[in-house]
Amino acid sequence: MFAAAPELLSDLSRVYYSSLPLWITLLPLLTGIGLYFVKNSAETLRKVVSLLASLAVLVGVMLLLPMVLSGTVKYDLIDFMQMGLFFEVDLVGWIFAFLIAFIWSLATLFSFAYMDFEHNRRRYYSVLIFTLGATLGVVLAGDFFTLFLFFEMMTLSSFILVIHEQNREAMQAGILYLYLGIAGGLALLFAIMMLYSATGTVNIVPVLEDLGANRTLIYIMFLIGFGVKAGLVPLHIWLPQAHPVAPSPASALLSGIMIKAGAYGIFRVSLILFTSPGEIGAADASYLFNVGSVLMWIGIITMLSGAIMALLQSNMKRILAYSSVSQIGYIATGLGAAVFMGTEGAMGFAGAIYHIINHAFFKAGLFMMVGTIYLYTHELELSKLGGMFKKMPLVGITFIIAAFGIAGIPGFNGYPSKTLIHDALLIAIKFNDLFSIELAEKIFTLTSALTICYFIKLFRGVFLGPVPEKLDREYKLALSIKAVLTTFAAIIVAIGLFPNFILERFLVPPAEFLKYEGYAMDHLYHFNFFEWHPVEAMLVVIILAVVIYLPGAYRNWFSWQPPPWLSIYALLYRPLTHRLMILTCKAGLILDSSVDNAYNQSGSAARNMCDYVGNIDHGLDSFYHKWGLIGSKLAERSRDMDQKLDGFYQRSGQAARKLADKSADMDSALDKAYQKTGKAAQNLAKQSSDLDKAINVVYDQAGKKTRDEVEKRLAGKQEKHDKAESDKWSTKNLSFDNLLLVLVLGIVLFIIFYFGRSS
Amino acid sequence: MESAGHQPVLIIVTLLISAFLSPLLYRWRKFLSGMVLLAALTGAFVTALTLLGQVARSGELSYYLGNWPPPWGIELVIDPLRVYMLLVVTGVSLWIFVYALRDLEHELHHDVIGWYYSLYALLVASMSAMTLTNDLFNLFVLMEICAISACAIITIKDKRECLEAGFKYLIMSAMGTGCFLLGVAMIYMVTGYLNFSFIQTGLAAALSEYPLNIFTAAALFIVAFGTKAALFPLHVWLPDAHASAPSPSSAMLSGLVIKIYAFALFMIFYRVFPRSLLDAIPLNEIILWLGAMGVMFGSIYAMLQTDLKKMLAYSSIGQIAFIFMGIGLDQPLALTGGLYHIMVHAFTKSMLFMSAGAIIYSTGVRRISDLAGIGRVLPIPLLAFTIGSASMIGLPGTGGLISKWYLALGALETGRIFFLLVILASSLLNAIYYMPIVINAFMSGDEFKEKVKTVPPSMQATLVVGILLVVISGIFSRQIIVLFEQALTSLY
Repeated sequence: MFAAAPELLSDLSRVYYSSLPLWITLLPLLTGIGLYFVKNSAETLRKVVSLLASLAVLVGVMLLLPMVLSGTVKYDLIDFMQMGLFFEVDLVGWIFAFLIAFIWSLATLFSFAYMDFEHNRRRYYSVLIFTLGATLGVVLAGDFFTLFLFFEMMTLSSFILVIHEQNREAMQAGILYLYLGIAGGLALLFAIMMLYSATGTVNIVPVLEDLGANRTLIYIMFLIGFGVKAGLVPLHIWLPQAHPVAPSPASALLSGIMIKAGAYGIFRVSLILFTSPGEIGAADASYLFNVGSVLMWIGIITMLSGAIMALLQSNMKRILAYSSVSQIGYIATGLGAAVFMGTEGAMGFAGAIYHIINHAFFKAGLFMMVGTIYLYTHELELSKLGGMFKKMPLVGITFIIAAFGIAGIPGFNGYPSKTLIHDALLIAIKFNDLFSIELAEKIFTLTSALTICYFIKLFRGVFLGPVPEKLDREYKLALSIKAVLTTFAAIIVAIGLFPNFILERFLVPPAEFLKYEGYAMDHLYHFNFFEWHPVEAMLVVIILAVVIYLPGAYRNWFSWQPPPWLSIYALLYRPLTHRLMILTCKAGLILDSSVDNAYNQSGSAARNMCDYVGNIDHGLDSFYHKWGLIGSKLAERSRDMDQKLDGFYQRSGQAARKLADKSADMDSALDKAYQKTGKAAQNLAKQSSDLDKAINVVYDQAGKKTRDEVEKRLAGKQEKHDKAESDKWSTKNLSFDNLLLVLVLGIVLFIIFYFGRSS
Repeated sequence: MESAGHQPVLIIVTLLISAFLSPLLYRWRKFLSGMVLLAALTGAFVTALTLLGQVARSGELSYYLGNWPPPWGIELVIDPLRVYMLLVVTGVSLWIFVYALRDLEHELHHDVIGWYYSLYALLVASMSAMTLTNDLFNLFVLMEICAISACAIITIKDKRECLEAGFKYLIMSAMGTGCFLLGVAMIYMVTGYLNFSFIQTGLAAALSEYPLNIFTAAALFIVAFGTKAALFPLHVWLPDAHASAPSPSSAMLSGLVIKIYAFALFMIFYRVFPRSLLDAIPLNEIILWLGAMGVMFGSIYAMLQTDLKKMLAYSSIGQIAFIFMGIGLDQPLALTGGLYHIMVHAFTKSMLFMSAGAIIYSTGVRRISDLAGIGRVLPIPLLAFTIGSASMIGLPGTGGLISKWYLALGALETGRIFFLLVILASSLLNAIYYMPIVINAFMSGDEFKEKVKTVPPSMQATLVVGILLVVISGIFSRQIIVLFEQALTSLY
């Protein structure tokens, strides 16, 4: 099923067959497993191996570059897991792979200093490298089945990174992450299966025409599946909990890289799968317009709510986590704009991918800078920090650079991508003069201003102001930390100063490949980021930020705590899960108590029946008795008669008398036997009725007990009752079970005859 | 149809002979007795493998017992599906027996272990014969042997709850076989045959003349096999029986015994009933809905359990329902999924019960909430439990995903998205009750408190084999799926 290369690709570029993608993913997976068996004491070996593994992956990814620049790389492992493993790397996939490998190497290096103060390092390094392989697999996968495999693997292994601390908070966040991850994975599986049944393939190729009536459902399921991982509102709730509790290098990877796996999926689904192979018809165009608008609005809502929430936090890592939610909103907005603009979508596409690249750098960098602060101060709350600029000037400077990057100041890397997304919206307004898009553009500007505000808040809180007495000491940064932070700052500045390099080398070719054309594409070819027009937009944002921040800081708006009922968790998830839980428990309870009642009733019915049988037995008994009496009377009479006969026929009657005697003996013996069996039957009936009574009592008790237990569980009281449990009578009423069997038989018979009659 | 060599009957006879030998040998040389049965089981497995080779070479084969040709004599048929099932039965029972050799010493009084071996051999013999037989009455006899020996391996543990559970199982399964016998009688009434193939042609002709008999027989079969295989709502006997039995028995019962009846129902549906009967009345539809309910309720019940083995037993109700859903969807892809799930679940659930057994063996803990931190003390049993849970949920890399994948494709192929939702929802429910145990066992901050006895190496080894089996069935499934495809296309 994977043999046929889509024609679209073959006439545009070359196809290379190479097993390199497989080895790139396999190497870290195997190394990760191997690292778990390195002894606890072999600290240096562990560090060297993990760094070498991530560097080797980086080299592998770089080796792919010449191939992906002129075509795609494919590798097919058909016998694996029935559906086969299929790798296909194009330029966009390569960009992701490069980001992953590069930032992972930096994070591994950063872990050296950071993790020395943490427990359980063996597990950490092993899982860290393993997750690298899984994440790479997601972006190198050539079909959705392979993608799904690695996606699930990534969810499970990153779960272990999230709960690294193993305290209550981390466990809670981790379990939420895991459940949402598994639910998202199932949604994804659902979508993939629907896709497979509709088109007969799981390859990532344009199939819009074949999807049929269920295409909206498929899209929604894909969006849920990838949206959970990407952190789109309202599926983001795990993100602000899980990212802060993980160790900082892991947070950097979760926020900088792993949520991008979700964004990557949304990109593949929206811009490749949901494109028709031929010309887009008018009906499909309007359909895609709607899909794109929905995606864009999800992005807009995500970016705004993420920014507002970030502004209201007081925990450093939490601000950054919400900021990630907000930035994913930018990416989704860009992708949405690209979808609904059809062939004019080049600007949105380039902006979204560019922002993914930039966000990976500045967010991973920011998490590591904040992690450095935490490493030396063990404080995350803004109110307990301050004045760190004097203590750790290097961290302060790199932080400013990264913050400038995320704020979109010209000359830093966030600026070009935000400009592209903004221009995508402007072009959208130009082509479709809709109020909704104009509103979206306004919210975009507002969000960018809010981004600046929360970074000013974060920067002021951590780096400015007086140093708290507790933290007033000399700090000496480890060399590896210095190197990592400087690298991030240098890249952010480099991209910011030469934005056209990435645009022209890495974003224009795939845009051509996706057959974008028209005004947006022309514009993209020679985009000048340092014209007055985009800079002007940025100045507006900065002025707006100042207008918001000054009164806000003065009047303490940003320390407002939203009431707990306002959170998405309280508004949506808790009622939902609560209801569901209650419903399940109620259903279980009702079922259980009705089964219980049935036991009780069938038990008492059985007892009544036994009594009845006992009565019949009594009756029979007395009947036997009477019959016996009659028999003996009869025998007496016959004896009398015999005597009389004897008198008449004395001589000849002797033999006859003997015979009669014998028969009388037999009769009385029979009589006795009757009496005995009657009594025995009576006893048996009594005994069985007693037994039944006893069983009944036990049933009643067992029924009560199960009911009590369910109620107890409902009330949340779990008491230890091992002893009681092991003593509990576990046999359910057999008569009920057999009744059930008969009932089912009856129903089945009824159905069969009902339908059999008509046929 | 070619005639096979004597291998099919050799499997059964060898096991029966060892069933008689082992208690005798046990009085004389305890060790030898176990080894004899082990050799017999290995022999059975190897012979089954040679049968597989034969089937691959020359297609469907048949063997006439005592050289009496059907319809008078009993016929054993060796075709790919039956050989697959035979391999599962003999292979898994061999695997469980290796575990049982050590675990039984701990769970049973040493006097009865010889008898246990005997019952075990009888059980395996009857199940192997059930996979091969092509005769309804022979099937009935084997079902009785199977039921009685299955009851006996529960009640052999001399405890009150085992006796109760065994008694209940005995009564329920007697009701089931009663229904079956009645159904067989009705079929015999209208066709005059007991051989599957002869009945199939006979029924097609008799359907228009005696619909009532045939309909009643169909209903009786559904109830009979539903009871035996614990199809919801006839599952009531299962939780107690499977939870209270000694761990190797639980593994046998949950892993194989309930499945053999599901397989028998599959055989009845597709080898005994003619296609026209399945088309005329919604037999598959009934199975499908009961299966869907079983999938959901089995999981919900399992969520409410506090006892580890009881939870596993309830989970079996949900998992066996997947197999029935495969039959219910009446579609080659879904049947592929259902049949594959027979093997996957045999591996997975046996392994889960064995790891639960290992936990009980070394710590005596049965309550789920007391398992916190146990993963650090017993890494291999809990690793096995983790992999088993992953397979139950249907995570990639385990066999569970493959069977669910094909079931779901089958559901989609028939255009019934609702059942796809049922399958996925039950995966989520499985995750909800399996994951906390795993997380708690490995990640909990608390240290494990109870005293720990080391698990014998042979038990650990069987668990490692189980992990490999579950993972291999998840990764290299292609050959078996191709085998199913070929075999199932002949049904449609």
